[in-house]
Amino acid sequence: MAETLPLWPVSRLGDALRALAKHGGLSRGPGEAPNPPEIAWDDGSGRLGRWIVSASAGLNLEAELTGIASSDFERSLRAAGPALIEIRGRGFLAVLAGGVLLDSRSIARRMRPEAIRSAVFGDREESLGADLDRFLAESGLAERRLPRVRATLLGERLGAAQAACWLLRPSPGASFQRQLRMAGLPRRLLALAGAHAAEYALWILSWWMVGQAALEGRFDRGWLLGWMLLVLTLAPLKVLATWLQGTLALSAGGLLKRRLLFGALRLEPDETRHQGAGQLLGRVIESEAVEFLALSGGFQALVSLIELILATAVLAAGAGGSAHAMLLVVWVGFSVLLAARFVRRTRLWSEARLEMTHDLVERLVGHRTRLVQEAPERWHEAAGPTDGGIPRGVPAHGPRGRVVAGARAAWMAGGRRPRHCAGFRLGARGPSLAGGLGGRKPAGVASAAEARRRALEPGGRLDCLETDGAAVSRGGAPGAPWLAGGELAGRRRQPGADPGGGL
Amino acid sequence: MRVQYPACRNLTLRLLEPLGAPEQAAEPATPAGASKAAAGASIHFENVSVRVAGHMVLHDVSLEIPGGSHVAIVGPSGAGKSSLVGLLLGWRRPAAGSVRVDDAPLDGMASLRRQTAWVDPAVHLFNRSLFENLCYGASQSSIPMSQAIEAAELKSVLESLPGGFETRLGEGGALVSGGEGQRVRLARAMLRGGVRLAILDEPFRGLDREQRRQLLARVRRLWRDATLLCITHDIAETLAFDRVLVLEGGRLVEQGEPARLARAGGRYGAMIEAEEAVRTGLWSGESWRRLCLREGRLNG
Repeated sequence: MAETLPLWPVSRLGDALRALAKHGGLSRGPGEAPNPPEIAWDDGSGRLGRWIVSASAGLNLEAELTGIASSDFERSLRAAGPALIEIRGRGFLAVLAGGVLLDSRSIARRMRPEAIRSAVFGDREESLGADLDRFLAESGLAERRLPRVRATLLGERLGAAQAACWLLRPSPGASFQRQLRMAGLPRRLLALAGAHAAEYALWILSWWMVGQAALEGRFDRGWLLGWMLLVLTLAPLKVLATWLQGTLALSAGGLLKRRLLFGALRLEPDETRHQGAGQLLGRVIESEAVEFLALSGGFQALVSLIELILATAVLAAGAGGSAHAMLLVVWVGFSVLLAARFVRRTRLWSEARLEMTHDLVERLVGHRTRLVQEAPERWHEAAGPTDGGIPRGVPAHGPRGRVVAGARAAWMAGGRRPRHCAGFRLGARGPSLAGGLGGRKPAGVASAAEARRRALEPGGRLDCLETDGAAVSRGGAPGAPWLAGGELAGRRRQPGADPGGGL
Repeated sequence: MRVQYPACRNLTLRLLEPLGAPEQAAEPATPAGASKAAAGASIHFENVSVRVAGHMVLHDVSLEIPGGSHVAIVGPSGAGKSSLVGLLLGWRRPAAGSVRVDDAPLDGMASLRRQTAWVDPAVHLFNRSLFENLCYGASQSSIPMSQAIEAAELKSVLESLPGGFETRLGEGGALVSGGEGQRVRLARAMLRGGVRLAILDEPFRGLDREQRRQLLARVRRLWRDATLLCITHDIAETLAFDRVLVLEGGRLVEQGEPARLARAGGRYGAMIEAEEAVRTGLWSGESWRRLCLREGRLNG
């Protein structure tokens, strides 16, 4: 018996979108998607498509029109959901993940992909099939081969035919967590954790077997085979973990870039005018660092966590017992404190880097002005070594900073870096980056230090103002007005006066 | 290692590129106050040609500008006006001929730049406070800040800025209008001390005719002893200058006293007539609807 297709009529497309959003996990709250007004199927104006896009936007979704080819229908159907597939002149199919259909009562129904395919391309199959049957009747082929030949020829001629399909996904402005969930990242992350945990457990087990055999003098063929099997099993697990990590990085990187682009396009025009090309360029550079650190650091943190748990278990089962395990826990706690400190300090470096980039770009853009209007002996004044060439409050500045940096050096030193420390490289990377930048662009760092000094010190700007003011109207007595007019007045500061006074 | 070597080599070569920049000879700084009383710089161009990207932008220009004279430079767009003053700012070097300033070859630029006031829409406004922008490069100023603000008609701008002097102007002065930015550039130039050469290249772009006229009169008064070169498209305003240079196609086609040139009926005379015709025949025509926008309010 032929299955009936659960079609949604055009007049209920709004309901279909809402149902897909709800059952497809795209939207939690009730969204605005009224059913469409009377829209003709073949008016050729694309009104229906535009309506779907705008109605999806009302649900905080993005609808992208694409085509599903007949030749690749089954695979595409499984991967498309949540989506709407158009069956011209009849209605729409609401497709959930895995190719499951949603009927007009919002009940999920699983149908054979072939049945869906013939329903979607039925009209075209019929028109082509009549011609094909006439051709086959005249071909003189054996009766038993006719169905197979017909199917092959039909498939080839329909191969290029495409059905209109609107892929639905959360808007780039939607909650990032929801986007991650929709992309199946938590599931893949769990799989990655499982694969890595299994790999690590097998690795420990293989060493346990070798140790057991060696210490108890039972190094026979059976133990050796068992050990070999364990080691061989490690290979596919490693491949699986690497593959999962790669796909996860690709998906998460794509989402992150999409989100960053969305954010960049939504920046306030006034804000961008304030910032200028330098700070915007700085943001672009930062976004790459964010992606790199978020992904690599995230993976390393996950892997480290697994390894730490297993390492604690191994230590607890070892000769030192719970004392050794506790030592590890204490050391990890200390490391976490250091890492948190590095993260805080790294934030300062990031701000300094943004300032540096802005300053550098502005100097490049205003190079001619600088050449003509600024005296050569002052060209490098702001870029001179100020405050040791390092912005305030950054690591390795002051005794505490040196202790932290020293601890990090000790932590990272040694021929073989403990793998369980890898997760904290995210935080530890701060001073490495900072050191690299400091080495490459000392002038820029000093310039940023100057910028920070001006921004952080309440009297900084006024000090600068007064210095320049003195240069402007040299010869005036301290306290004498250097500007007076209307309701504006500026006065040169008396020596030792409150730096907050001025304008 | 084999794979990384080319990348490392390219990176190293790129990093070392700036080391190949031509070295600049040390020039003694002008003693403070020494140049204050000095007269304007005298300039001598002798058969100067300038080539830019293979194109000749100035052909065989010979010219004598006595110190302290005020010279207007006019001509159609692309005539080579900015290239001519660009020689004095150090943007261009003569492909042939020589430029002498105060009877000395123009080799090192630092000392001339110290004594030069430059107003041009290309002068960069930094994303710093208005005050820092005004004081940029200012030293030994001959006028106080208040006078510069007044003379450049910046008072209303200052009052309208939310943070007054401390308001950041945005990159390239993006947070102020074109005309306001141009007045900031003018005030910055006015605050320079010891000016012996003033180069104004379309200095009042974005301002109305009356403002342009008044500002030009003020800067000419301020730099009355300096040599002043002014590139402008307000031909009628150049009648008040000591001398006018007319450039066309990279050649100096006319030069002399403006009144005499206007009477002679050459290129300069034709430019004055054309400007007058545009003003009376086109802009004053009845076909235009006039809207007046003042302080953000539109009056029909």
